[in-house]
Amino acid sequence: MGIYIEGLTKAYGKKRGITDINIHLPEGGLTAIVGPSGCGKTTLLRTLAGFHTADEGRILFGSRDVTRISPQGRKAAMVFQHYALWPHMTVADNVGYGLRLQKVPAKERERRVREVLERVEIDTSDIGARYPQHYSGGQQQRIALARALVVQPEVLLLDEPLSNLDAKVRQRLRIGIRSIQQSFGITAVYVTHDQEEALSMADYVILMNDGKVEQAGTPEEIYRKPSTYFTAQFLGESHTLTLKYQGKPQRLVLRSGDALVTPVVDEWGTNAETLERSIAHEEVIEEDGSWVMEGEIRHHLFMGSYYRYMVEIQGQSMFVDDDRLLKPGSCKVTIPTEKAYWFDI
Amino acid sequence: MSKPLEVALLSAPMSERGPWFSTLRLTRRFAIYAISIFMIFGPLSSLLLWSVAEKWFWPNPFPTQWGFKYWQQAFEGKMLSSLGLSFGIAIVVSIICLVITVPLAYVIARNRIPLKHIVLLIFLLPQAFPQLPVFSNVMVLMYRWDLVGTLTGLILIHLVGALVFSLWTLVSVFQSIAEPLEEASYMLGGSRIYTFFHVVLPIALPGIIASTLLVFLYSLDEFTGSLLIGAPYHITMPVFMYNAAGGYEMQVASVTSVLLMIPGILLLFLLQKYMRSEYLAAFGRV
Repeated sequence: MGIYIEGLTKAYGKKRGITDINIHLPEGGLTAIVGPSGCGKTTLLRTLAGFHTADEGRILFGSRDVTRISPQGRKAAMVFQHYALWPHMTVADNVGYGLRLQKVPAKERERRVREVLERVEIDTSDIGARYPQHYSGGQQQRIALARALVVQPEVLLLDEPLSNLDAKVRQRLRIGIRSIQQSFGITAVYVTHDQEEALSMADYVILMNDGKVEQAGTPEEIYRKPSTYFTAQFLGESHTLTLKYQGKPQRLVLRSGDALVTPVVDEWGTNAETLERSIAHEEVIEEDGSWVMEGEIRHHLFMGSYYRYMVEIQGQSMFVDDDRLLKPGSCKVTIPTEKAYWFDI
Repeated sequence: MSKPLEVALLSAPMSERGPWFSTLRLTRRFAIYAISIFMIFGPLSSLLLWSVAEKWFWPNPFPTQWGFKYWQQAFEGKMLSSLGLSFGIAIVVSIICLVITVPLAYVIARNRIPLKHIVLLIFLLPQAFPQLPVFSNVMVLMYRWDLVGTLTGLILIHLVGALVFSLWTLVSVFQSIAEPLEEASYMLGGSRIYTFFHVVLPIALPGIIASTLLVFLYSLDEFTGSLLIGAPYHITMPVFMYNAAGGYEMQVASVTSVLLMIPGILLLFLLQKYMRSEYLAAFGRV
């Protein structure tokens, strides 16, 4: 069931509204809505859920117009940041709640509850006696996912489901949620402020800024072909340098992993020539399909599997990752031209 | 050589820091308990003593004649009917409070009501002034409506204060329930009413019980309004006690106090069990 959003507008508070959103979320895919806080991503999700009524525009689940339908009638299910499991109900009652509302007979209800809990890898031996508080955060979110999926919704909405968990659990549950979503083949909308989460989990990423869609596309597209400065600097571990390019100062956005630092080796004079040219022009020069500029290694951080260098380029600093241990001092910074994004100021 | 020892000392748990240390801690704790117990039970024990003292004259440290004469008197006389009246009124007031404030507090907690603060302030207003002038004015009104000296009047005057307690605590109780708990139910098809009864109410129950206990105790203990509106036709326990103490019947007053205290203490234990600190913390900031 694909989701079509047409001209959706919702004023909400001073900042968090959305204006004229037009997107299509493909059927059976996981679409991540990502953006800084206050960009309207939560407002968009809550409008999809029916908690907000749209001021203008339409929302279609498949061919069904749900714009004016209450949350109860949308056949969508939701997973919340703080799990929102009911503390006074056992796990079995929590998961079976939706089925009880649909008047599913007790026997079938129990069977379906067990089945869905097994699919999200929760031990079902004593779900009738244990309460959500007895489970870890990651398990609670799995139970919440089961509660949402057991009613066979047409659309699954996830509101920052991993933000409340610690890093290790988060990494594991990313894969968990992704594989569950794929095995159910359900259309999912996933709101997150974590760009890494969005890029790693989604089939399709919608980057929002200031209540509008900044850019939409596959994770690779949006990461490798940022069409605006905002997209470029928001995704990945990005740094902005203001450098002279084609005769005028421009913004260059770089990712830590994309640049290569080579120390200047005095005795051999390896990089001396290019560097002299670069310094002379105070400009970035192109050489063998790469941008080359002069830098200075200021600090390094040992990150385990690699080193992170703070490199100063024309008085501005950025991080460059490299797995070699390099000495502080002058260096050459090389970036493949296709991985450097220039934007007018 | 000295370093490992130092480390061992620093990392040792409290109890392993030598016997003198734990003795000191125990003594201090004991002293604190003793002082607290004396502060709480000192005055109460004098009441207990008075209630079983048939003769007690200065300067004897203890009563010269003991007995249950006054307890007997209490249970034979008007006191029992006062006791029954007080409990009856407290129960009725608690129920009315529940019926009015549970839905009202929920609506106030969940909706952006433009005049929310004004509504809450109106409820708080009778408590913002000394009770005597407020209740005297109410009495003037009640005379006009023929409510003075009636049970209805008594219940109404208790409600003036009880509704404040009830509403303010219940608004906090409902606000402490995270909204996604309700939204999760809506998404699964639960209507607002269904959700209220299956999700909100069960989660709010400890808070509702706590607030009802507060109201119950308030009503049981209410004096000024009861005296002005109820007396002399309907004498509640506090008013009865006032009369007894006013007549220098120290023993009767003591028996009444002890009787009044028993439900209070029992209910306070219950309250402590159900009241979560955040309800009280949220009290007054809505």
